[in-house]
Amino acid sequence: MMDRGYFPDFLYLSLGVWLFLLVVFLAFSIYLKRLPDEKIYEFKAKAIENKKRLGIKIYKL
Amino acid sequence: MGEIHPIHLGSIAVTVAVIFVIGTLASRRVKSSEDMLVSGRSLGLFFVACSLAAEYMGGLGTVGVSERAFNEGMGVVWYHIAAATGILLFGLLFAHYYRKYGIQTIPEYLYYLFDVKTWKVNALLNFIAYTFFGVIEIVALGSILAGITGLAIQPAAMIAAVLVTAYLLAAGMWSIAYISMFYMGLIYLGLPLAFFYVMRYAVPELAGSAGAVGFAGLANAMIHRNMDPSFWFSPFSLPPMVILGFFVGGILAVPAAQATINYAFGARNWKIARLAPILSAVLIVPLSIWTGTLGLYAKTAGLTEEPKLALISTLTHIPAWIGILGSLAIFAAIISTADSILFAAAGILAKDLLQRWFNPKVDDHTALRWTRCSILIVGAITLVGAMALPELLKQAYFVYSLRSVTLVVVFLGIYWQRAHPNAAFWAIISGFVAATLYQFNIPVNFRPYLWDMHVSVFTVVVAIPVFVSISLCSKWTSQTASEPPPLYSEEEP
Repeated sequence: MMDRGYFPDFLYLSLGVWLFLLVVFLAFSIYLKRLPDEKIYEFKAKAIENKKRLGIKIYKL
Repeated sequence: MGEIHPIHLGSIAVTVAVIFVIGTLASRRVKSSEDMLVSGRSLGLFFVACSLAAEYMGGLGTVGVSERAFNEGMGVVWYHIAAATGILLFGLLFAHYYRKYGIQTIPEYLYYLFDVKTWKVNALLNFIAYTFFGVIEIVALGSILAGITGLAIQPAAMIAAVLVTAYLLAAGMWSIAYISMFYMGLIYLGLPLAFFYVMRYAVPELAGSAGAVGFAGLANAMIHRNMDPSFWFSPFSLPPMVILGFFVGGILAVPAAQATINYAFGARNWKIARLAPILSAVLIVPLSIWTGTLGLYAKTAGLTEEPKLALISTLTHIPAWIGILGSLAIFAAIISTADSILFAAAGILAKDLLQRWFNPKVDDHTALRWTRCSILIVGAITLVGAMALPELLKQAYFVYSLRSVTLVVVFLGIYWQRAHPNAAFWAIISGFVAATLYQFNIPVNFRPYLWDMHVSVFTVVVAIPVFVSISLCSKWTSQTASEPPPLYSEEEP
Protein backbone atom coordinates (compact mmCIF):
# COMPACT_ATOMS: atom_id res chain seq x y z
CA MET A 1 0.00 0.00 0.00
CA MET A 2 1.44 3.35 -1.05
CA ASP A 3 1.79 6.25 1.32
CA ARG A 4 -0.80 8.99 0.63
CA GLY A 5 1.96 11.47 -0.07
CA TYR A 6 3.50 9.22 -2.72
CA PHE A 7 5.36 11.28 -5.30
CA PRO A 8 6.42 9.25 -8.36
CA ASP A 9 9.92 9.50 -9.80
CA PHE A 10 8.90 10.88 -13.19
CA LEU A 11 7.35 13.90 -11.47
CA TYR A 12 10.69 14.81 -9.86
CA LEU A 13 12.20 14.81 -13.33
CA SER A 14 9.40 16.72 -15.06
CA LEU A 15 8.95 19.33 -12.38
CA GLY A 16 12.72 19.67 -11.93
CA VAL A 17 13.18 20.34 -15.65
CA TRP A 18 10.20 22.70 -15.63
CA LEU A 19 11.67 24.70 -12.74
CA PHE A 20 15.07 24.74 -14.45
CA LEU A 21 13.49 26.14 -17.62
CA LEU A 22 11.63 28.74 -15.60
CA VAL A 23 14.91 29.87 -14.03
CA VAL A 24 16.58 29.94 -17.49
CA PHE A 25 13.67 32.02 -18.79
CA LEU A 26 13.94 34.53 -15.94
CA ALA A 27 17.74 34.72 -16.15
CA PHE A 28 17.66 35.07 -19.94
CA SER A 29 15.01 37.83 -19.66
CA ILE A 30 17.30 39.81 -17.37
CA TYR A 31 20.34 39.12 -19.56
CA LEU A 32 18.57 40.27 -22.75
CA LYS A 33 17.11 43.33 -21.06
CA ARG A 34 20.62 44.49 -20.20
CA LEU A 35 21.93 44.06 -23.75
CA PRO A 36 21.83 47.15 -25.98
CA ASP A 37 19.57 46.89 -29.06
CA GLU A 38 22.63 47.40 -31.30
CA LYS A 39 24.09 44.12 -30.05
CA ILE A 40 22.24 42.39 -32.89
CA TYR A 41 24.87 43.70 -35.35
CA GLU A 42 27.54 41.73 -33.53
CA PHE A 43 25.94 38.37 -34.32
CA LYS A 44 27.66 37.45 -37.56
CA ALA A 45 27.01 34.28 -39.52
CA LYS A 46 30.31 32.89 -40.83
CA ALA A 47 29.10 32.23 -44.38
CA ILE A 48 27.69 35.75 -44.72
CA GLU A 49 30.94 37.19 -43.38
CA ASN A 50 32.82 35.22 -46.07
CA LYS A 51 30.70 36.93 -48.72
CA LYS A 52 31.31 40.36 -47.24
CA ARG A 53 35.05 39.73 -46.99
CA LEU A 54 35.22 38.82 -50.67
CA GLY A 55 33.01 41.71 -51.76
CA ILE A 56 30.18 39.44 -52.91
CA LYS A 57 27.01 41.51 -53.01
CA ILE A 58 23.98 40.24 -51.08
CA TYR A 59 20.67 41.53 -52.44
CA LYS A 60 17.39 41.74 -50.59
CA LEU A 61 15.08 39.00 -51.81
CA MET B 1 -15.28 7.15 -28.71
CA GLY B 2 -18.53 6.26 -27.04
CA GLU B 3 -21.95 7.84 -27.36
CA ILE B 4 -22.01 11.32 -28.86
CA HIS B 5 -23.56 13.73 -26.40
CA PRO B 6 -25.39 16.75 -27.95
CA ILE B 7 -23.13 18.88 -25.80
CA HIS B 8 -20.15 17.58 -27.83
CA LEU B 9 -21.60 19.00 -31.03
CA GLY B 10 -22.57 22.20 -29.24
CA SER B 11 -19.08 22.68 -27.84
CA ILE B 12 -17.48 22.22 -31.25
CA ALA B 13 -19.98 24.68 -32.76
CA VAL B 14 -19.12 27.26 -30.08
CA THR B 15 -15.37 26.69 -30.60
CA VAL B 16 -15.71 27.14 -34.36
CA ALA B 17 -17.79 30.31 -33.80
CA VAL B 18 -15.10 31.72 -31.48
CA ILE B 19 -12.42 30.91 -34.07
CA PHE B 20 -14.39 32.76 -36.75
CA VAL B 21 -14.93 35.79 -34.52
CA ILE B 22 -11.22 35.91 -33.67
CA GLY B 23 -10.28 35.45 -37.34
CA THR B 24 -12.59 38.29 -38.35
CA LEU B 25 -11.15 40.60 -35.70
CA ALA B 26 -7.60 39.66 -36.72
CA SER B 27 -8.35 40.45 -40.39
CA ARG B 28 -8.61 44.15 -39.50
CA ARG B 29 -4.87 44.19 -38.83
CA VAL B 30 -3.91 43.08 -42.34
CA LYS B 31 -2.91 45.94 -44.62
CA SER B 32 0.12 44.45 -46.41
CA SER B 33 1.71 41.13 -47.34
CA GLU B 34 4.11 41.60 -44.41
CA ASP B 35 1.11 41.84 -42.05
CA MET B 36 -0.21 38.61 -43.52
CA LEU B 37 3.06 36.65 -43.46
CA VAL B 38 4.84 37.94 -40.35
CA SER B 39 2.16 39.97 -38.51
CA GLY B 40 3.86 43.21 -39.53
CA ARG B 41 6.72 42.13 -37.23
CA SER B 42 4.84 43.36 -34.20
CA LEU B 43 4.10 40.21 -32.17
CA GLY B 44 4.75 40.44 -28.45
CA LEU B 45 6.31 37.81 -26.19
CA PHE B 46 3.15 35.85 -25.35
CA PHE B 47 1.85 35.80 -28.92
CA VAL B 48 5.13 34.33 -30.19
CA ALA B 49 5.53 31.90 -27.28
CA CYS B 50 1.95 30.60 -27.42
CA SER B 51 1.95 30.25 -31.22
CA LEU B 52 5.24 28.34 -31.12
CA ALA B 53 4.19 26.09 -28.23
CA ALA B 54 0.74 25.40 -29.68
CA GLU B 55 2.29 24.46 -33.02
CA TYR B 56 4.62 21.95 -31.37
CA MET B 57 2.04 20.26 -29.13
CA GLY B 58 0.06 18.58 -31.92
CA GLY B 59 -1.29 15.05 -32.09
CA LEU B 60 1.98 13.34 -31.19
CA GLY B 61 2.34 15.49 -28.07
CA THR B 62 -1.17 14.66 -26.81
CA VAL B 63 -2.71 11.43 -28.17
CA GLY B 64 0.75 10.05 -29.04
CA VAL B 65 2.20 10.66 -25.56
CA SER B 66 -0.86 9.11 -23.95
CA GLU B 67 -0.56 6.05 -26.17
CA ARG B 68 3.10 5.67 -25.28
CA ALA B 69 2.40 5.99 -21.54
CA PHE B 70 -0.30 3.33 -21.91
CA ASN B 71 2.23 0.99 -23.53
CA GLU B 72 5.53 1.87 -21.89
CA GLY B 73 4.94 4.03 -18.82
CA MET B 74 5.79 7.56 -17.78
CA GLY B 75 9.28 7.57 -19.29
CA VAL B 76 7.35 9.32 -22.05
CA VAL B 77 7.86 12.62 -20.19
CA TRP B 78 11.19 12.77 -22.01
CA TYR B 79 9.26 13.49 -25.22
CA HIS B 80 8.38 17.03 -24.14
CA ILE B 81 11.69 17.55 -22.34
CA ALA B 82 13.42 16.75 -25.66
CA ALA B 83 11.06 19.08 -27.53
CA ALA B 84 11.80 21.83 -25.01
CA THR B 85 15.53 21.27 -25.58
CA GLY B 86 15.11 21.79 -29.34
CA ILE B 87 13.10 24.96 -28.78
CA LEU B 88 15.60 26.20 -26.21
CA LEU B 89 18.45 25.71 -28.70
CA PHE B 90 16.49 27.63 -31.31
CA GLY B 91 16.19 30.61 -28.97
CA LEU B 92 19.80 30.47 -27.82
CA LEU B 93 21.60 29.73 -31.10
CA PHE B 94 19.45 30.64 -34.11
CA ALA B 95 16.60 33.14 -33.56
CA HIS B 96 18.73 36.30 -33.50
CA TYR B 97 20.55 35.34 -36.70
CA TYR B 98 17.25 34.90 -38.52
CA ARG B 99 15.81 38.09 -37.03
CA LYS B 100 18.87 40.15 -37.97
CA TYR B 101 18.12 39.65 -41.68
CA GLY B 102 14.39 40.22 -41.25
CA ILE B 103 13.55 37.01 -43.10
CA GLN B 104 10.06 35.71 -43.77
CA THR B 105 11.00 32.17 -44.75
CA ILE B 106 13.85 29.75 -44.00
CA PRO B 107 14.75 29.25 -47.71
CA GLU B 108 15.23 33.04 -47.92
CA TYR B 109 17.90 32.82 -45.21
CA LEU B 110 19.66 30.14 -47.24
CA TYR B 111 20.12 32.71 -50.01
CA TYR B 112 21.72 35.18 -47.57
CA LEU B 113 23.93 32.44 -46.12
CA PHE B 114 24.75 30.64 -49.35
CA ASP B 115 23.45 31.25 -52.86
CA VAL B 116 20.52 31.38 -55.25
CA LYS B 117 20.48 27.68 -56.14
CA THR B 118 20.43 26.60 -52.48
CA TRP B 119 17.52 28.98 -51.82
CA LYS B 120 15.58 27.68 -54.84
CA VAL B 121 16.02 23.98 -54.14
CA ASN B 122 15.19 24.43 -50.47
CA ALA B 123 12.10 26.51 -51.26
CA LEU B 124 10.81 23.92 -53.70
CA LEU B 125 11.44 20.95 -51.41
CA ASN B 126 10.06 22.77 -48.36
CA PHE B 127 6.87 23.60 -50.24
CA ILE B 128 6.42 19.97 -51.30
CA ALA B 129 7.25 18.64 -47.82
CA TYR B 130 4.94 21.01 -45.95
CA THR B 131 2.06 20.41 -48.36
CA PHE B 132 2.56 16.67 -47.86
CA PHE B 133 2.68 17.23 -44.11
CA GLY B 134 -0.47 19.38 -44.33
CA VAL B 135 -2.39 16.39 -45.72
CA ILE B 136 -1.21 14.28 -42.79
CA GLU B 137 -2.25 16.91 -40.24
CA ILE B 138 -5.67 17.45 -41.80
CA VAL B 139 -6.32 13.69 -41.67
CA ALA B 140 -5.25 13.64 -38.00
CA LEU B 141 -7.48 16.62 -37.29
CA GLY B 142 -10.35 14.94 -39.13
CA SER B 143 -9.91 11.86 -36.92
CA ILE B 144 -10.23 13.82 -33.68
CA LEU B 145 -13.13 15.88 -35.03
CA ALA B 146 -14.83 12.65 -36.10
CA GLY B 147 -14.29 11.31 -32.57
CA ILE B 148 -15.91 14.37 -30.99
CA THR B 149 -18.82 14.82 -33.42
CA GLY B 150 -19.54 11.26 -34.54
CA LEU B 151 -19.01 12.19 -38.22
CA ALA B 152 -17.07 9.90 -40.58
CA ILE B 153 -13.37 10.81 -40.91
CA GLN B 154 -13.52 12.13 -44.48
CA PRO B 155 -16.28 14.73 -44.01
CA ALA B 156 -14.68 15.66 -40.68
CA ALA B 157 -11.33 16.17 -42.44
CA MET B 158 -13.08 18.28 -45.07
CA ILE B 159 -14.63 20.51 -42.39
CA ALA B 160 -11.24 20.80 -40.68
CA ALA B 161 -9.48 21.82 -43.91
CA VAL B 162 -12.15 24.42 -44.73
CA LEU B 163 -12.05 25.83 -41.18
CA VAL B 164 -8.25 26.19 -41.12
CA THR B 165 -8.10 27.62 -44.65
CA ALA B 166 -10.85 30.13 -43.83
CA TYR B 167 -9.14 31.65 -40.83
CA LEU B 168 -5.74 31.65 -42.50
CA LEU B 169 -7.31 33.54 -45.42
CA ALA B 170 -8.68 36.11 -43.02
CA ALA B 171 -5.38 37.27 -41.55
CA GLY B 172 -2.55 34.74 -41.99
CA MET B 173 -0.11 34.93 -39.09
CA TRP B 174 -2.29 37.41 -37.22
CA SER B 175 -5.09 34.81 -37.23
CA ILE B 176 -2.76 32.13 -35.92
CA ALA B 177 -1.31 34.42 -33.25
CA TYR B 178 -4.70 35.40 -31.85
CA ILE B 179 -6.27 31.96 -32.21
CA SER B 180 -3.20 30.30 -30.64
CA MET B 181 -3.86 32.27 -27.45
CA PHE B 182 -7.37 30.80 -27.45
CA TYR B 183 -6.00 27.32 -28.17
CA MET B 184 -3.44 27.58 -25.37
CA GLY B 185 -6.26 28.63 -23.07
CA LEU B 186 -8.20 25.50 -24.06
CA ILE B 187 -5.14 23.26 -23.65
CA TYR B 188 -4.18 24.75 -20.29
CA LEU B 189 -7.76 24.55 -19.05
CA GLY B 190 -9.00 21.25 -20.51
CA LEU B 191 -6.09 18.91 -19.80
CA PRO B 192 -5.16 20.00 -16.24
CA LEU B 193 -8.85 19.96 -15.31
CA ALA B 194 -9.30 16.42 -16.64
CA PHE B 195 -6.06 15.40 -14.87
CA PHE B 196 -7.24 16.93 -11.60
CA TYR B 197 -10.67 15.29 -11.82
CA VAL B 198 -9.20 11.87 -12.60
CA MET B 199 -6.66 12.04 -9.76
CA ARG B 200 -9.08 13.48 -7.20
CA TYR B 201 -12.32 11.64 -7.98
CA ALA B 202 -11.80 8.79 -10.48
CA VAL B 203 -8.67 7.18 -9.00
CA PRO B 204 -10.21 6.48 -5.54
CA GLU B 205 -12.98 4.56 -7.35
CA LEU B 206 -10.51 2.13 -8.93
CA ALA B 207 -10.41 -1.41 -7.61
CA GLY B 208 -7.48 -1.79 -5.21
CA SER B 209 -6.88 1.95 -4.82
CA ALA B 210 -7.89 1.72 -1.15
CA GLY B 211 -9.74 5.01 -1.59
CA ALA B 212 -6.50 6.94 -1.92
CA VAL B 213 -6.42 9.91 -4.25
CA GLY B 214 -3.65 10.96 -6.65
CA PHE B 215 -0.61 8.93 -7.57
CA ALA B 216 -0.81 6.88 -4.34
CA GLY B 217 -4.27 5.60 -5.33
CA LEU B 218 -3.16 4.98 -8.91
CA ALA B 219 -0.10 3.07 -7.68
CA ASN B 220 -2.29 0.96 -5.35
CA ALA B 221 -4.64 0.14 -8.23
CA MET B 222 -1.65 -0.79 -10.39
CA ILE B 223 -0.39 -3.23 -7.76
CA HIS B 224 -3.91 -4.69 -7.66
CA ARG B 225 -3.61 -5.31 -11.44
CA ASN B 226 -0.12 -6.79 -11.14
CA MET B 227 1.50 -3.69 -12.63
CA ASP B 228 4.68 -2.58 -10.88
CA PRO B 229 4.38 1.20 -10.12
CA SER B 230 8.14 1.55 -9.75
CA PHE B 231 8.37 0.62 -13.44
CA TRP B 232 5.31 2.44 -14.81
CA PHE B 233 6.15 5.66 -12.90
CA SER B 234 9.86 5.49 -13.65
CA PRO B 235 11.31 8.20 -15.92
CA PHE B 236 13.38 5.38 -17.39
CA SER B 237 10.53 3.02 -18.25
CA LEU B 238 11.46 3.48 -21.93
CA PRO B 239 14.65 2.01 -23.44
CA PRO B 240 17.58 4.49 -23.54
CA MET B 241 17.63 4.41 -27.36
CA VAL B 242 14.02 5.58 -27.47
CA ILE B 243 14.80 8.47 -25.12
CA LEU B 244 17.84 9.32 -27.22
CA GLY B 245 15.58 9.23 -30.28
CA PHE B 246 13.26 11.78 -28.64
CA PHE B 247 16.21 14.13 -28.17
CA VAL B 248 17.56 13.67 -31.67
CA GLY B 249 14.06 14.19 -33.04
CA GLY B 250 13.31 17.17 -30.79
CA ILE B 251 16.55 18.94 -31.63
CA LEU B 252 16.43 18.24 -35.37
CA ALA B 253 12.77 19.16 -35.67
CA VAL B 254 12.80 22.74 -34.46
CA PRO B 255 15.56 25.25 -35.28
CA ALA B 256 15.09 25.24 -39.07
CA ALA B 257 11.43 24.21 -39.30
CA GLN B 258 9.51 27.01 -41.01
CA ALA B 259 6.13 26.02 -39.52
CA THR B 260 7.40 25.98 -35.93
CA ILE B 261 9.66 28.99 -35.80
CA ASN B 262 8.17 31.50 -38.24
CA TYR B 263 6.42 33.22 -35.32
CA ALA B 264 9.84 34.40 -34.17
CA PHE B 265 10.14 36.12 -37.57
CA GLY B 266 7.02 38.08 -36.61
CA ALA B 267 8.42 39.12 -33.22
CA ARG B 268 8.49 42.83 -32.42
CA ASN B 269 12.28 42.78 -32.00
CA TRP B 270 15.21 40.39 -31.84
CA LYS B 271 15.09 40.09 -28.05
CA ILE B 272 11.52 38.80 -28.13
CA ALA B 273 12.49 36.47 -30.98
CA ARG B 274 15.12 34.92 -28.67
CA LEU B 275 13.18 34.99 -25.41
CA ALA B 276 9.81 33.67 -26.63
CA PRO B 277 11.12 30.18 -27.49
CA ILE B 278 12.36 29.79 -23.89
CA LEU B 279 8.86 30.63 -22.64
CA SER B 280 7.46 28.12 -25.16
CA ALA B 281 9.69 25.44 -23.66
CA VAL B 282 8.30 26.29 -20.20
CA LEU B 283 4.75 25.95 -21.57
CA ILE B 284 5.41 22.62 -23.29
CA VAL B 285 7.07 20.54 -20.56
CA PRO B 286 4.04 19.91 -18.26
CA LEU B 287 1.92 18.56 -21.14
CA SER B 288 3.20 14.99 -20.89
CA ILE B 289 2.50 14.87 -17.14
CA TRP B 290 -1.20 15.38 -17.90
CA THR B 291 -1.61 13.38 -21.10
CA GLY B 292 0.73 10.58 -19.99
CA THR B 293 -1.03 10.14 -16.65
CA LEU B 294 -4.46 10.13 -18.32
CA GLY B 295 -3.20 7.39 -20.66
CA LEU B 296 -1.83 5.38 -17.75
CA TYR B 297 -5.14 5.76 -15.92
CA ALA B 298 -6.93 4.27 -18.96
CA LYS B 299 -4.67 1.22 -18.74
CA THR B 300 -4.99 0.81 -14.97
CA ALA B 301 -8.77 1.21 -15.10
CA GLY B 302 -8.98 -1.20 -18.07
CA LEU B 303 -10.93 1.36 -20.11
CA THR B 304 -9.62 0.11 -23.46
CA GLU B 305 -7.30 -2.45 -25.01
CA GLU B 306 -6.40 -0.07 -27.83
CA PRO B 307 -3.45 2.20 -26.86
CA LYS B 308 -4.35 4.84 -29.46
CA LEU B 309 -7.68 5.35 -27.68
CA ALA B 310 -6.15 5.72 -24.21
CA LEU B 311 -6.62 9.47 -23.87
CA ILE B 312 -10.04 9.61 -25.52
CA SER B 313 -11.25 6.66 -23.39
CA THR B 314 -10.32 8.48 -20.21
CA LEU B 315 -11.96 11.70 -21.37
CA THR B 316 -15.22 9.89 -22.18
CA HIS B 317 -15.13 8.12 -18.81
CA ILE B 318 -15.28 11.33 -16.75
CA PRO B 319 -18.20 13.80 -16.50
CA ALA B 320 -19.20 15.08 -19.93
CA TRP B 321 -18.33 18.74 -19.48
CA ILE B 322 -14.81 18.00 -18.26
CA GLY B 323 -14.32 15.35 -20.94
CA ILE B 324 -15.45 17.82 -23.60
CA LEU B 325 -13.02 20.46 -22.40
CA GLY B 326 -10.29 17.81 -22.55
CA SER B 327 -11.35 16.78 -26.06
CA LEU B 328 -11.38 20.41 -27.16
CA ALA B 329 -7.87 20.77 -25.74
CA ILE B 330 -6.70 17.89 -27.96
CA PHE B 331 -8.56 19.41 -30.89
CA ALA B 332 -6.82 22.73 -30.18
CA ALA B 333 -3.40 21.06 -29.97
CA ILE B 334 -3.86 19.32 -33.32
CA ILE B 335 -5.49 22.20 -35.22
CA SER B 336 -2.77 24.60 -34.05
CA THR B 337 -0.20 22.32 -35.68
CA ALA B 338 -2.27 21.93 -38.84
CA ASP B 339 -2.74 25.68 -39.32
CA SER B 340 0.99 26.34 -38.94
CA ILE B 341 1.89 23.62 -41.44
CA LEU B 342 -0.56 24.92 -44.04
CA PHE B 343 0.59 28.46 -43.41
CA ALA B 344 4.26 27.47 -43.85
CA ALA B 345 3.52 25.82 -47.20
CA ALA B 346 1.44 28.80 -48.34
CA GLY B 347 4.07 31.32 -47.20
CA ILE B 348 6.84 29.58 -49.13
CA LEU B 349 4.62 29.26 -52.22
CA ALA B 350 3.61 32.92 -52.12
CA LYS B 351 6.88 34.52 -51.16
CA ASP B 352 9.68 32.31 -52.42
CA LEU B 353 8.17 30.64 -55.45
CA LEU B 354 5.53 33.00 -56.88
CA GLN B 355 6.96 36.36 -55.90
CA ARG B 356 10.73 36.16 -55.45
CA TRP B 357 11.46 33.46 -58.01
CA PHE B 358 8.97 34.25 -60.77
CA ASN B 359 7.99 37.89 -60.37
CA PRO B 360 9.89 39.89 -57.75
CA LYS B 361 8.74 43.24 -59.17
CA VAL B 362 5.08 42.91 -58.18
CA ASP B 363 3.61 45.58 -55.91
CA ASP B 364 2.62 44.72 -52.36
CA HIS B 365 -1.11 44.69 -53.14
CA THR B 366 -0.51 41.89 -55.68
CA ALA B 367 1.82 40.10 -53.25
CA LEU B 368 -0.95 40.17 -50.64
CA ARG B 369 -3.41 38.77 -53.18
CA TRP B 370 -0.93 36.02 -54.09
CA THR B 371 -0.50 35.15 -50.43
CA ARG B 372 -4.25 34.64 -50.09
CA CYS B 373 -4.34 32.65 -53.35
CA SER B 374 -1.48 30.48 -52.03
CA ILE B 375 -3.39 29.77 -48.81
CA LEU B 376 -6.38 28.78 -50.94
CA ILE B 377 -4.25 26.56 -53.20
CA VAL B 378 -2.54 24.80 -50.28
CA GLY B 379 -5.90 24.43 -48.49
CA ALA B 380 -7.40 22.85 -51.64
CA ILE B 381 -4.44 20.50 -52.17
CA THR B 382 -4.52 19.29 -48.56
CA LEU B 383 -8.29 18.88 -48.71
CA VAL B 384 -8.10 16.74 -51.84
CA GLY B 385 -5.09 14.87 -50.39
CA ALA B 386 -6.93 14.17 -47.13
CA MET B 387 -9.89 12.80 -49.10
CA ALA B 388 -7.86 10.70 -51.50
CA LEU B 389 -4.67 9.71 -49.67
CA PRO B 390 -5.32 9.13 -45.96
CA GLU B 391 -2.68 6.37 -46.02
CA LEU B 392 -0.05 9.15 -46.27
CA LEU B 393 -0.17 9.11 -42.47
CA LYS B 394 2.11 6.09 -42.52
CA GLN B 395 4.83 8.18 -44.17
CA ALA B 396 4.60 11.09 -41.72
CA TYR B 397 8.17 10.89 -40.46
CA PHE B 398 9.59 11.12 -43.96
CA VAL B 399 8.71 14.81 -44.03
CA TYR B 400 10.88 15.45 -40.98
CA SER B 401 14.01 14.61 -42.96
CA LEU B 402 13.95 17.93 -44.83
CA ARG B 403 13.79 19.88 -41.57
CA SER B 404 16.83 17.96 -40.34
CA VAL B 405 18.97 18.56 -43.41
CA THR B 406 17.98 22.25 -43.45
CA LEU B 407 19.06 22.50 -39.81
CA VAL B 408 22.46 21.00 -40.70
CA VAL B 409 23.14 23.50 -43.49
CA VAL B 410 21.87 26.52 -41.51
CA PHE B 411 23.86 25.58 -38.40
CA LEU B 412 27.08 25.02 -40.32
CA GLY B 413 26.51 28.18 -42.36
CA ILE B 414 26.21 30.26 -39.21
CA TYR B 415 28.95 28.67 -37.14
CA TRP B 416 31.56 27.15 -39.51
CA GLN B 417 33.99 29.37 -41.40
CA ARG B 418 34.52 26.85 -44.21
CA ALA B 419 30.82 26.29 -44.95
CA HIS B 420 30.47 26.57 -48.73
CA PRO B 421 27.37 27.20 -50.90
CA ASN B 422 28.02 24.14 -53.10
CA ALA B 423 28.18 22.02 -49.95
CA ALA B 424 24.80 23.36 -48.79
CA PHE B 425 23.19 22.68 -52.16
CA TRP B 426 24.49 19.12 -52.45
CA ALA B 427 23.83 18.30 -48.80
CA ILE B 428 20.16 19.20 -49.31
CA ILE B 429 19.92 17.19 -52.54
CA SER B 430 21.76 14.15 -51.16
CA GLY B 431 19.83 14.27 -47.87
CA PHE B 432 16.51 14.35 -49.68
CA VAL B 433 17.46 11.56 -52.09
CA ALA B 434 18.84 9.44 -49.23
CA ALA B 435 15.66 9.98 -47.18
CA THR B 436 13.49 8.95 -50.14
CA LEU B 437 15.48 5.76 -50.75
CA TYR B 438 15.52 4.91 -47.05
CA GLN B 439 11.85 5.58 -46.38
CA PHE B 440 10.53 3.76 -49.43
CA ASN B 441 13.01 0.83 -49.28
CA ILE B 442 14.62 1.56 -52.64
CA PRO B 443 16.23 -0.70 -53.81
CA VAL B 444 16.14 -2.73 -50.55
CA ASN B 445 15.04 -2.24 -46.93
CA PHE B 446 18.12 -0.61 -45.31
CA ARG B 447 16.65 -0.40 -41.81
CA PRO B 448 17.70 -3.81 -40.44
CA TYR B 449 21.32 -3.01 -41.40
CA LEU B 450 21.23 0.45 -39.80
CA TRP B 451 19.80 -0.29 -36.36
CA ASP B 452 16.32 0.74 -37.58
CA MET B 453 17.53 4.34 -37.58
CA HIS B 454 14.91 7.10 -37.81
CA VAL B 455 14.74 8.57 -41.32
CA SER B 456 15.60 12.09 -40.13
CA VAL B 457 18.69 10.78 -38.32
CA PHE B 458 19.70 8.86 -41.44
CA THR B 459 19.32 12.06 -43.46
CA VAL B 460 21.66 13.90 -41.11
CA VAL B 461 24.16 11.03 -41.17
CA VAL B 462 24.29 11.41 -44.96
CA ALA B 463 24.12 15.21 -45.14
CA ILE B 464 26.89 16.09 -42.65
CA PRO B 465 29.74 14.18 -44.41
CA VAL B 466 28.56 15.50 -47.79
CA PHE B 467 28.52 19.07 -46.45
CA VAL B 468 31.87 18.81 -44.66
CA SER B 469 33.74 17.07 -47.48
CA ILE B 470 32.51 19.46 -50.21
CA SER B 471 33.25 22.48 -48.01
CA LEU B 472 36.78 21.24 -47.32
CA CYS B 473 37.38 20.66 -51.04
CA SER B 474 35.90 24.01 -52.15
CA LYS B 475 37.35 27.48 -51.97
CA TRP B 476 35.53 30.76 -51.45
CA THR B 477 36.36 33.22 -54.24
CA SER B 478 34.79 36.48 -55.35
CA GLN B 479 32.80 34.45 -57.90
CA THR B 480 31.31 32.14 -55.28
CA ALA B 481 27.63 32.82 -54.74
CA SER B 482 27.80 35.87 -56.99
CA GLU B 483 24.72 34.99 -59.08
CA PRO B 484 22.10 37.63 -58.28
CA PRO B 485 18.55 36.54 -57.46
CA PRO B 486 15.93 36.87 -60.24
CA LEU B 487 15.25 40.52 -61.19
CA TYR B 488 17.15 41.57 -58.11
CA SER B 489 16.77 44.95 -56.50
CA GLU B 490 19.82 46.96 -55.50
CA GLU B 491 18.57 47.09 -51.95
CA GLU B 492 20.63 45.19 -49.39
CA PRO B 493 18.96 43.32 -46.55
